[in-house]
Amino acid sequence: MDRPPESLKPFADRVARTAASEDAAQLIHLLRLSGLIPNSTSEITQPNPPPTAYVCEPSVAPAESRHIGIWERKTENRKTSFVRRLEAMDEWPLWANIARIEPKGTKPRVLFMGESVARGYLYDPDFTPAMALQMIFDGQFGEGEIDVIDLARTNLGYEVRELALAALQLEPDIAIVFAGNNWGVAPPTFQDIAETDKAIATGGIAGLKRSCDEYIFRRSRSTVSDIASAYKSRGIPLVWIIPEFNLSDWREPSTNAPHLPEDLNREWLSLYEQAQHAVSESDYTTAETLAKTMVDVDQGVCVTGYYLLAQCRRRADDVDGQRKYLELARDAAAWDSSMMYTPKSHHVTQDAIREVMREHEYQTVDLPALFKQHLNGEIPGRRLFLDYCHLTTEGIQVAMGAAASCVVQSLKGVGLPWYVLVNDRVAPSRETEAEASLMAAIHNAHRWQSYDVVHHLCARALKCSPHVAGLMINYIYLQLRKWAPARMSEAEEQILRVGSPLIHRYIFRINEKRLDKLLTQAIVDALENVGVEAREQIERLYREEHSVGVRDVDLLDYFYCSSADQPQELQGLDPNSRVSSERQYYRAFWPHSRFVFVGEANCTVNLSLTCRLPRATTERRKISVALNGKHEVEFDIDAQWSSWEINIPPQDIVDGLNEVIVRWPIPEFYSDEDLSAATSDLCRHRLPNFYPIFGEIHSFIVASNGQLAKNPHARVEVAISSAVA
Amino acid sequence: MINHDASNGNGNYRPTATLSRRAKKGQLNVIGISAGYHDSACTLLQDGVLVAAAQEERFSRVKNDKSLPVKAFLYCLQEGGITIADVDCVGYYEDPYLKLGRQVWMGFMPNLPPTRRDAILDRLSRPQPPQMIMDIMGYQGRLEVFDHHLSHAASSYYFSGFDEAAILTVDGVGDWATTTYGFGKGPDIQRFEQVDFPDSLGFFYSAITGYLGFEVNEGEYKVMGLAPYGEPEYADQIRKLVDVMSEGQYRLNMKYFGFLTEDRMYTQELIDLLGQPPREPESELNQFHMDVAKSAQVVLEEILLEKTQYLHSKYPSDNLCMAGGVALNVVANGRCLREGPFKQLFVQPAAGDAGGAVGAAALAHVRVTGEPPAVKRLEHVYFGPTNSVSDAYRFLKVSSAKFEDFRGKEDELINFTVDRLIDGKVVGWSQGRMEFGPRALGGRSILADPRRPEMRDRINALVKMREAFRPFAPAVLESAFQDHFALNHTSPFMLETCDVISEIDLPAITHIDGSARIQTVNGNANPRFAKLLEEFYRRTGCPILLNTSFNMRGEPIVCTPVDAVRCFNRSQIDLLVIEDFVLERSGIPAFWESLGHFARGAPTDAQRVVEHSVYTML
Repeated sequence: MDRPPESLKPFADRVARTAASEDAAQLIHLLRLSGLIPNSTSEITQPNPPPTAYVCEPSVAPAESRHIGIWERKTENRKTSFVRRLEAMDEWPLWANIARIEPKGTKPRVLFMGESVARGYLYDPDFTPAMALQMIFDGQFGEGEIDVIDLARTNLGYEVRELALAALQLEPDIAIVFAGNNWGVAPPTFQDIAETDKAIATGGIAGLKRSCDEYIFRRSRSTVSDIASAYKSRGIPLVWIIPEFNLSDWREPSTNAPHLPEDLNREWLSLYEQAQHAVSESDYTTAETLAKTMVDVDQGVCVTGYYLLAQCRRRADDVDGQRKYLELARDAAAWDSSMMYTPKSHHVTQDAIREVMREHEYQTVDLPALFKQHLNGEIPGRRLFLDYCHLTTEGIQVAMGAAASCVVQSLKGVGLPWYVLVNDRVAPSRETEAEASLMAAIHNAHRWQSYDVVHHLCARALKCSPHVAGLMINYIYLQLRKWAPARMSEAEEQILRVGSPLIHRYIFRINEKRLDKLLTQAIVDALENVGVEAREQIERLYREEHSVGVRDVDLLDYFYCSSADQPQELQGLDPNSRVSSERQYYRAFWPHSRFVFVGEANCTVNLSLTCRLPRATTERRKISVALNGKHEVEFDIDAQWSSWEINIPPQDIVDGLNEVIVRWPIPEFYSDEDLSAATSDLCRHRLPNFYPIFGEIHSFIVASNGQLAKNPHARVEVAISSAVA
Repeated sequence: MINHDASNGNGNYRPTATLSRRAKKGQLNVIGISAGYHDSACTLLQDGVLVAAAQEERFSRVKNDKSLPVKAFLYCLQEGGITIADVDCVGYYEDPYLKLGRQVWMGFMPNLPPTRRDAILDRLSRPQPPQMIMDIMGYQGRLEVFDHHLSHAASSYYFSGFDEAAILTVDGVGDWATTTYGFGKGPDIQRFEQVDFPDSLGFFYSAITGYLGFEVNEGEYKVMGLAPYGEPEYADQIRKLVDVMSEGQYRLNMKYFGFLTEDRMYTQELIDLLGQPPREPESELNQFHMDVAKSAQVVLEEILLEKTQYLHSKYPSDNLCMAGGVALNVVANGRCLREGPFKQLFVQPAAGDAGGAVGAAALAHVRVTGEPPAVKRLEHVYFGPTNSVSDAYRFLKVSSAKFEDFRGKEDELINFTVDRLIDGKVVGWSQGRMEFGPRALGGRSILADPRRPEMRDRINALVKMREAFRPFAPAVLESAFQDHFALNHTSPFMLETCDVISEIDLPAITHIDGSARIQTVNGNANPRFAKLLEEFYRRTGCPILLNTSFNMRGEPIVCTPVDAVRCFNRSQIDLLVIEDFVLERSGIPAFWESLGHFARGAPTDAQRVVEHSVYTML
């Protein structure tokens, strides 16, 4: 038969019409997922999705793989070495810059494997943990007497298993693994979906959290166990460095509570507002009581309550209590696949590593315990961390000192305490330290960290080396010149001229153009503290490039929206993470939405807003718009799009950044339906929405009404500082 | 309008914020959308006037982007000065349920590979376009759905300027139909016959395209360009691929076609029939390939000619409107007009699926108002985003590039550019609004002197990196075209071929058979481009420039000034003219060279990327 029968065409149409509803499509998807409809190719039924990071040959047992990461086995003159593959060139920057791993010689060989924290993220390639380890060994045993092989790779997840198994071919005398920060929840298989469905149906988001924690524990255990067993069977000692998290300084974006049963979202919001009020009144006793109730209501699935509790405990000088709540905050949202993932090792990960390594009688470097000891009980923060999990030089020195201690014990039978091996000379140059601190400042600012942290990093950079001042100013120029691509501006040329390979590696890769309000402020302040005056020129740049007097501004543009302190809303607007199958307009996950624009004092502006309430809203409700804290207008909207013009009088506009706040009404909560929809999205590998929506905006434009300053460049006033304040 | 806070409490008058519901611009705003196969697009008709139209690929920078055209939609709203709240109706260009039915029917094919069956099930389990328009774009108003070929028909007829016309649509496939016959009269379009899937002239031609080692759904025009180098040696064999039947019907001989079950368009039987293995992509072309191309072209023309005669017999009009991907075969169109019964032909310039968005919008307009769109004959296709002079200036200013600023000095700019063209330079020309459809017509073009014999190879080497056999097209002043080309009417959309009769030797734009695919240019549609041609004419006596699209191979045509500069940087074009600014290669900063293949956007989103080995029709 060269074609299906013509007579089946009407039947095909009938099938199509029957299938063409959301429910029917969902049914077909679930039947395929469950295997009731045979499915030959889809990855969703495979129990183990293929690794996302390339660490060994596909479809070959890792221990027999010709590949170890980007290196390929080559035998010449009966000697086997591993040579970096040209075809993997795109991956080279993720690994150590080693062209060839030579055959093992007479010297003891130490394998060092892991993820970005082991790579020395933000110091690499100028300084890495493997280099630190080598320096320590050189100091103890003489230069080059221990052969350290650096197999750490940025963005390595559970694939560390395959890497470690393949790396056995390098005949190590001992291996060190520093991993566990990237062990989250993988795309669900059918069994996972079934479990997820059940977990959500019976326990809501709290059930989902339990299910995810169990998954991470299970997967962590099996990963460590497979590696430990393989090394044990060959008699090779193994050391695992258990990661720690920047508990003291790193803050995940505070989210609203996800869908809660029985109208509890309303109660949670009320508690949150009261707790915030209590904090603003310095009434921490009341705030703590309210925050505890928040956690009871959300069952610990949301960071917000825990951060409030940690804040209250800090006020009470209760370090242990603060640590407890910060750890709970760290672990609160492992279930949430709708938010940008922050690498971290959860307590379930840490426990799994400890447990398995103990079972195999292998040593661990338990960073949570080690750092506590090193800091005399203080909660680890900026002293040891550049960001959420990546270590500072001091953090690297301590961690590598402890790892080296294990190696020395194992290879030489000498017991040296870790602190003996911690050495100040095991450090990068001052220039590298400065540039790493600047990169960390950028990274922290772009991940919504506080002014205090970002400013600290900027100040540290300048203290280490004054050459970063030029880099900082050029970076601001690079960012604020919105209309020129980062890769083609004069500022980039300057940065390339002044910066080291470290700067070249990170500044464009981890950077997305944005107004960078907080970072700019931190840089300008830090520069001022060392006597470099940049405020005036930066404020002029703000005005020249972004004033609404120059052009209309789209407040939903990621460039501006990213400076408005609403990370959850921004997830859907990030041009890098946006995919064409996801919603392409703004959704508010809090009762208020924030936006910023650059204005000029005494210039009237017009706000054009097109918005609606969530689809389930049945009646018209009031929203309000405020500018720079002043209530401007309020009006009724419903679930249909409507467009509004708001003319703001000149006296309400300030020079520099102006903040617009849209306040939404508390919506009707339909948690069961919304959770069901989120489960459907999970089943379909679509981005689920776990949170109530308060309002939606399709466009929000601010335009000048024309009465501009005659010579805007002549008036340089407080632009940035007013915004940050 | 509502006033708030009328006093500030201290007796001084201070103006207060005012609020008003935004007045709707235009009485009727109709959006047209095409998506899902390739070249997704969005268009806006405002009170029946075509205001904006653009393909998603120009924004996403993913060639042939098939995803829902969200960015193009936002552009259309912006261009029309409206918001989503002002949209009265969205017209969608094909019936998703008919399309799904056809896909299900394909699943009834015995011995269907499991991957194909999975793909069909995947289609059944995905949200359908109306749902996606609501979910992803946020639109919640009136939505009208039209079948695929009706959208094609409307995209041509309503913009033809004809009061009545016969209409022929021919493409690969949309929902069920692959070819339709009908006519338009006033606001109404009637169709009286169609050919259904899998019988498809589009697939017939695509199978040969694949066999000849070109990308399916992309390289068909290369086959057309290759044909003049060959002889119809294989026409008899190729005629076996299609049984031409009575009335409008024809039937593919499916033993030669693999698209229902295989990962290529043709079968081993076709290879056996033609006696040689298929050409490896990028390998050398030989006489056999040229002869096969010629043979396929001849067979296509024969069938189209016969079917237009049939159409005329059923609807004896002077006027013919055509649309659908096959209508981009300008050589066949020309022959139908020359040898067929119709006296006038209008082809929608965006004849492929992108144009379906225009048709859907027009049909929605008719359905809402009962009147045809307020369009006479389409006079230009500059419906895309315009270059922002200030953005271009800002960008160039903050880069280290050295550039000339001709603001307020248009004559000097034209003279400067003509000087360079006469010197044999290749010019990137980005001016005004971007074209809608596959052709660059002086908005986003690469221009050169057509008199220079080396120019074709030079442009291929500098930027296009394309097959040497493919001709470049000329843009010619409308006032002088008949002195140089054997055509008795204008051709503003580069949709017709004709013989070159010029006394000037024009090797860079003359095809091997002495023909050229011309664009006639007048000062109304594109004043600056016309001025450039006039000055070139004045200085050289030649009113013609070589005009090809401004893009690198495998990339969409440039859209923004930044796209243009990036393309300029990565190619070896000599000169870039963006609005009033001129950038010469010597003005490029050294460090830009290190950018290498850095380009805006990347085809990482599977929802956007189009398959080019086979038309899976999924």
